[in-house]
Amino acid sequence: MTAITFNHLCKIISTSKTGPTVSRADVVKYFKRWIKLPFASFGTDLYNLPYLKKLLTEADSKINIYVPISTYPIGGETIESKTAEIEWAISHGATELDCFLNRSATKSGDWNFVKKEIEEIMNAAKGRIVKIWVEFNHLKPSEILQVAELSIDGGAHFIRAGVGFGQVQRYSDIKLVKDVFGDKIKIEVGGGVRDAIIALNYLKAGMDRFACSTPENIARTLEDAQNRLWKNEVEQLYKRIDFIIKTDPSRKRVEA
Amino acid sequence: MSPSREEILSCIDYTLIKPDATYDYVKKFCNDAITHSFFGVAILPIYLPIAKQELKGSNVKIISFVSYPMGNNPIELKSHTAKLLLKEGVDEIDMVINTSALFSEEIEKVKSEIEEINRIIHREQKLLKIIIELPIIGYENANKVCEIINRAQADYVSTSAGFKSFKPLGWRPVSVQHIQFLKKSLDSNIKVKASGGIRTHKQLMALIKAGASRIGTCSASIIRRVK
Repeated sequence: MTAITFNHLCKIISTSKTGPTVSRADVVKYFKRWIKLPFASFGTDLYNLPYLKKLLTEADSKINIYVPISTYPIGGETIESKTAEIEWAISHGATELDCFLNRSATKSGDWNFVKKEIEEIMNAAKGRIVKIWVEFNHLKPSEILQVAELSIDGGAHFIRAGVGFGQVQRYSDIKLVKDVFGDKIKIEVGGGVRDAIIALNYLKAGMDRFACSTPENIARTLEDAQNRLWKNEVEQLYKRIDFIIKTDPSRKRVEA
Repeated sequence: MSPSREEILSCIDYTLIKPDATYDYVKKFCNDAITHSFFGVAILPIYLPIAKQELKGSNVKIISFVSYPMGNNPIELKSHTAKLLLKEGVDEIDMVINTSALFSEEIEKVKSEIEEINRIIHREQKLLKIIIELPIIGYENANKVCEIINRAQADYVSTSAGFKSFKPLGWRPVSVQHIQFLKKSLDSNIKVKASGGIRTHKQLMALIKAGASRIGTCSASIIRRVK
């Protein structure tokens, strides 16, 4: 019987350690715990990025590193600050860039501005994986679709929905983007995925990756989550995870 | 003697830190600051173009942030953003210190960023406020940071970025004790800004009485009862 193992599911999880009280030692300790597992990516803030990079280099690990661009978790920086952050992050080892959009522009319907901002982000990223970061909860469905369309047109790899801090993304919003755009863009759910039951529900809705700072909770609840599903549902999700992994643009680097 | 209404209004940094305010909201926000004769608007960098337009010809100052609300950006990027903000014409900059460096026992990094940003801002004769996240770093760390600020001679120390989601990490609204502590630890020429969770008229008056020279608040209604 097909079962989704944690090792398998890991490949669609980004896990991170960041926050105003997180020290360099905390970051090293946290990632040492997970470094042997095939996570999609590890994330931290710009201050801790060089230390995370050093840890992975010394362990000969090719796990991707992501950083928030535009000062987590508000994202209030101008385009000029964002592009400078992107350049700095790349030169210090980041391979995935989670870039906040100017959410005042998206809320004001200034789509020319959003288009230009995505262009500038993509230019600065020089081929690195780009996730366009918005909070779906603060957008109307029509605004979500507009952001998705501009992200696809601009060549972004992912939309990241949600900044965490208790914000929970609606399954219907994830499904909406997938129904309209299919696999033209990947969706990462950022925050609120506290256990495997929630994770598998998002997968059903069309999510391609999720951010999670407590992977141990996912591992602990994974078996229970699958027991709640029909056998063919688990099989479908297993195949979906396989497809996501095979088509994940971030993995090219890891497998090279 | 209690401060006059004008004195109170002229110490308010009217603050807009939510990142998804519409252009119309930002315009209204700026015009409210003019109507109330607040000292200034403290806004995210993304709002500067609108604020400059709306506040043209008024006395309301423009204040913006470096590395808000998490001060963990490296010094090169903080300098870069500070220079960009100055070029945009801001009157003051509120910078969040790198609290992770502090918790990593790399206080020299905090020292160099404070000194560097202070130099950049004073070169343009503008003001620097340093947000030290007092509720999160605690008094012991704050003492060390105050020593650095005394030496660097920044203009203001601000108690907190006021980002409520940091509550599990120890964030609390600014208190009279915070202000008293800073007044005691800082040179007398370095002023104190109270910020974070100021919602009531009573709080406002107590903080001013304790020695706060500036108040950061996003609640314009607290001045309704100011006589």
